[in-house]
Amino acid sequence: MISEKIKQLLKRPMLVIMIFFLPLIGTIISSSFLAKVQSDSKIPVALVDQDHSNMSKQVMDRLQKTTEIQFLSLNEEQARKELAKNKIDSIFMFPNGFQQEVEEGNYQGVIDLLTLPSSVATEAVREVVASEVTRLTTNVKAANEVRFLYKVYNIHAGPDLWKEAYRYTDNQWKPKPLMTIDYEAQGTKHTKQGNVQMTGYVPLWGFFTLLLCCITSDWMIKERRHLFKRMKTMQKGLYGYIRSVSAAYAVLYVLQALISFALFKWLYGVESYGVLLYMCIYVIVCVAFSTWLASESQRVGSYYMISVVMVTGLSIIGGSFFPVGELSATIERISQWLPQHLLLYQHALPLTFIWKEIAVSIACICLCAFKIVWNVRSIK
Amino acid sequence: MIEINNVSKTYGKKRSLANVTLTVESGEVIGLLGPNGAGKSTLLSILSTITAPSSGNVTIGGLSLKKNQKAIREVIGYVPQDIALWEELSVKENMKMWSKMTSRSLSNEQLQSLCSAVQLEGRWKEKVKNLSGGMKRKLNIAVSLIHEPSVLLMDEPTVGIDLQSKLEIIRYIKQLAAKGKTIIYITHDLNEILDVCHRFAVLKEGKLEFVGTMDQAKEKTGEEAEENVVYKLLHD
Repeated sequence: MISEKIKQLLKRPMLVIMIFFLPLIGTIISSSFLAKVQSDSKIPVALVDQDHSNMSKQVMDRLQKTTEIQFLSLNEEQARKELAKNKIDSIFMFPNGFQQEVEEGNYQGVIDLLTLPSSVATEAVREVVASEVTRLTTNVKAANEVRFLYKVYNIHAGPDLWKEAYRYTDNQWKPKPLMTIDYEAQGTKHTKQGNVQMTGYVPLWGFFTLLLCCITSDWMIKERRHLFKRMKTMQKGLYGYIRSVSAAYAVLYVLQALISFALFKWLYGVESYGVLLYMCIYVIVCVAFSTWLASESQRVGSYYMISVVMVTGLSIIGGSFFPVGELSATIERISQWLPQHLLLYQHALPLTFIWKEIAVSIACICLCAFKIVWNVRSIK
Repeated sequence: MIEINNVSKTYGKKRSLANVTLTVESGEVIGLLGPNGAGKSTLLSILSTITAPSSGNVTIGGLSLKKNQKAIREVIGYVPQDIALWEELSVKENMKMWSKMTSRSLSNEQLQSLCSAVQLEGRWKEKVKNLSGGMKRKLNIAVSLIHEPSVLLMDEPTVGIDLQSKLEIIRYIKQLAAKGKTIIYITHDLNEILDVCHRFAVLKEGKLEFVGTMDQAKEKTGEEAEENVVYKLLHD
């Protein structure tokens, strides 16, 4: 029965395209869109180099490696125009004599700052810039001190003593100098792969898959009126039929998960097979959930509407679109009990069994199955 | 043999069947007549294991309906009033799907010959949605015969179709009866009753008002014309 149903489903080209490609296409388009929004949402800050020295260049290079803020290298006129148009948040200017001031060990007032009343990133950026200048002045001070001590104790020094001392001090800032700390939210682990954050596309795929499961579960409503009555008189019974059709869909969705995983691996370089395992468990939960939801509904139109609302709501709370911790701690606690949680954060981990999530998924499947049986029982 | 003893069915406060007692012999064709809402379809739903009776006992071929639902499903074939087919699938796919719902595994040839028996040869690969109403009705009957049941429960199998298809279906039902199938047949058409059934039963407001042959009905009502007999049975 399951194989017969799968054969039939595969003969419907639109359905095949929908099941196998719609979640994938949706995920790829949405994640690239989100990546674009993410990069566009970085706060733009202008850097103006009037000193054109090695040190000003070095600081600017380091700042531009910061991913959280978008540093733009502009000349003073351009920067002031952009600030006037409110297109940038603030201007950090390295004035003439910047390197000289730093070499003399001065770090107070060596950079000019231009802001607007609406500037939001000034404080944070000032900290970042200040730490970078502190790094430079510290390096310079240390190198000067070494050169001075060599002179005092009359030690023979090579021509590159100052540079070596500078480099040595600079290395003390590694491996985790202030500028390059990876800020991590509690309980999350962000690993950059390609252009998209790994936590982004698997939960998004989860959203599209759940939505599609709901759309393809409309058979439960369409067939109820004419077919279910006769099903009850057949040897395999109505439950047997529902079980078989659901299983056939589950097989197709597991296949879809496999294809999606392979493509994600190719596109984004997923490393953990834990993702695949939890994607497979997730699609089975989705099939059970959508079949239950359809068994509660009487009309296809209202079912689609309720499905979209429920899937979107669950996906928001479950963290498919953004980390729910940003909304509230209560929602974050709730999200841990939703099947969507299966798809969060697993990519970066080796294959580990997250028993709570697996138990929640099994409970969800059992609850849906029980409710489907209960709802179908009343069909006369 | 089907034995229905004191069967009642209530939905909330509404009583659909009230103490119905009826015996149908093997190989007999019995028609069920009655106005809409009389309880005909409810009785057929109980016999076909769709609904459980509120009280009373039913045995089919000596098997109790309460205890042997699965075994009873092996011997009954149910033809619902609605067309219970997948419109998007072909005749072949429908037959295969329904055969998978039975405990028997039938070959394509066997299924095809069943379709030929209801004059659907040449329609094997056609989608159900492209068939005429009469053809759909024929296929609806063919599906109920896949597992070769000895009892057929037919709920208005000829409703809403053209005369030619209706006559073909009636002829086929007569063939089935000749082969010894026990048939319970719901209809509103007196001619079908006279043509196909050995006996008929009249249900009114959930109660069995009459069971017997047309001659017995004439005797009971004192009417000669068959239309008047049935009218009197339904309205008195």
